[in-house]
Amino acid sequence: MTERPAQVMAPVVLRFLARVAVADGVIDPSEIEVLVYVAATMGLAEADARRVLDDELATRSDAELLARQLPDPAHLRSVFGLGCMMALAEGQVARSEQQVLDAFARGAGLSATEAREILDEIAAQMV
Amino acid sequence: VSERTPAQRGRAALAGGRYDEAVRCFAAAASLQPEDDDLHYHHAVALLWRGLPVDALAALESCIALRGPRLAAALELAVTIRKQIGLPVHGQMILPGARPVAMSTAPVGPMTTLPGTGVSPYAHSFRVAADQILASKRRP
Repeated sequence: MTERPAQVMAPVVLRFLARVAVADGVIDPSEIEVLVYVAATMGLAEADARRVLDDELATRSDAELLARQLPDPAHLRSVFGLGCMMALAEGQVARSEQQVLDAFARGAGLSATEAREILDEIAAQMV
Repeated sequence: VSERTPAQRGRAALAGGRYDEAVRCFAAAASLQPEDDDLHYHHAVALLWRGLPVDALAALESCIALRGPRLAAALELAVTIRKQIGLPVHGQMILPGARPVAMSTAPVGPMTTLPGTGVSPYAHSFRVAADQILASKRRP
């Protein structure tokens, strides 16, 4: 029997962050390494994380649907914040990345104002 | 044209990390053999890897309703999912001997602040992840 993920939120978070990272059409090997490390912090083994990433890059999840998998508002805001960090990692949020963030925010039930406030809060920390 | 059944294709896809394909195969297999609780269980596992735990709960409900050989495993997994994504756990879903979900209890240091992490059971993981993303940005 194939094992299930020990931490069921890890694939959701990993897929969302990968979705942000690949929004501009390419994903850098260094971004892959960051994502694998992030997955490890959530209890996902490296081999499992790489399999999920390969699947995600082949299928491209709907970020709005991923957000609907996290009913806890505290989880949603934290995961959205991580997505903002990924998007801001290159300095500014590209239009394609913003579209993924907007889709996740819609699924999370965050207003445009709330989403903007979180993005601004994260951006301020990354200066 | 493959002569393998949807269930066989689903198992191969799951083992090979083709989770989107595994979800579709097990959904088809479970609709063809709705009385086979093993198919509903594996559909749920595939959905978890696909990043769809809420949908996995629905598949597990189908599994649990059959009261078959996968009942205990399905109940335990449903409880685990509900705890981890922050849904209430109904008393009747807990079986004697069910293992508690292991969460990180390491102290949280003066790390990056993320919205909502003050009350999230994943606070530590999220903060470590945030620090890693920040560190990658600062790397030359």
